Amino acid sequence: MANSSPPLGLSALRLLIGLADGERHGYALMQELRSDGLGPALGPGALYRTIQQLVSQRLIVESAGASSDTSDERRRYFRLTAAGRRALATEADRMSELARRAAKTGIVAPARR
Amino acid sequence: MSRPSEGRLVAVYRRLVGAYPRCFRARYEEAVVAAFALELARVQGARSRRAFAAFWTFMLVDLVASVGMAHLGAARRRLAHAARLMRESSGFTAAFATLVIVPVWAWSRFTTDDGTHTRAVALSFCVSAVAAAVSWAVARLICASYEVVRVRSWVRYASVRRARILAGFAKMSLMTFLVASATELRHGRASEVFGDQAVSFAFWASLAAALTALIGLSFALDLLLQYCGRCARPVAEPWKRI
Repeated sequence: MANSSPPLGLSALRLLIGLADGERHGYALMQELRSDGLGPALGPGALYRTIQQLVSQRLIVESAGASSDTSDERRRYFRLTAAGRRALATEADRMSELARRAAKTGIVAPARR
Repeated sequence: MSRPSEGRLVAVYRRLVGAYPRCFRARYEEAVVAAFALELARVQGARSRRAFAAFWTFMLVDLVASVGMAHLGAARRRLAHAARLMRESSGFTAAFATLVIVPVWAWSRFTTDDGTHTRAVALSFCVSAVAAAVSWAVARLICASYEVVRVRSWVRYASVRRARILAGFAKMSLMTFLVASATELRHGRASEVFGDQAVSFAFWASLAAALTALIGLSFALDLLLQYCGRCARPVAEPWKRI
């Protein structure tokens, strides 16, 4: 399957995955990215710059979660948009295809289901 | 040696966050500082000097890298927006065509076999054209901070546009005069080109008058632009439109 959309960066992809279960605030995403083992940890600057990019691409939007959580009003909550879900699915397909082709070479073991 | 207090470290970091582009800070400064403060509290709790040093190294590298990328991204977005505005503006198209045609025409018309002062004139046209185009582009970037929301403000917006183009042309003329005269002076050819002393005096007098008039015009245009800028309604969150 050929995808014409440009591939997302690793940080952006990890952020989208982090938001797939529902809205979260930036610091929670930062902690998840530190522990997911899929890449380097992101500092606050890189995190919010990536968030800014995703917001400008309309893949995520800021949500009103902050109003329901009074723990820290500076927290910014984000959630995936429909376009973000599509982009995540497309990127996952692309990754699966890459993994399948890599497995075909025999250099790496095929992905386990 | 005791560590600085948490509040002071957060204040230092907040000062560093000031290096981000304004559009980024307006939206995310508080969130970035809050995330830093939470991380700092976590590391302070660990009470390990090595962890503290690693934490600061990580934060500073993150800050430097993301500040650079944020500035690049902001510049790219602004340029793309300005390019889009320019494409949509027939005034710019006319100005751009003029700025391209005039130097080409001047070069072909005035170039001689010996290639002396006429080449300098053509060169001055090229330089002034580039200067005018750059000044126009900068002016458009400034102009992009204003948005039109009501029909009445279209008139003011159009005024700003026309005034920017006029300012570009005024600067082009000014640059042409300056570069041409400087080049001529450098080659000591003014009297040769303009004949005897009387003609030379008239030339310099008229040049001075023209420069004064152009500088005056430039100031007048700036005042006009400031007036129009005040009239145009500033956008509450321009980064959303850029």
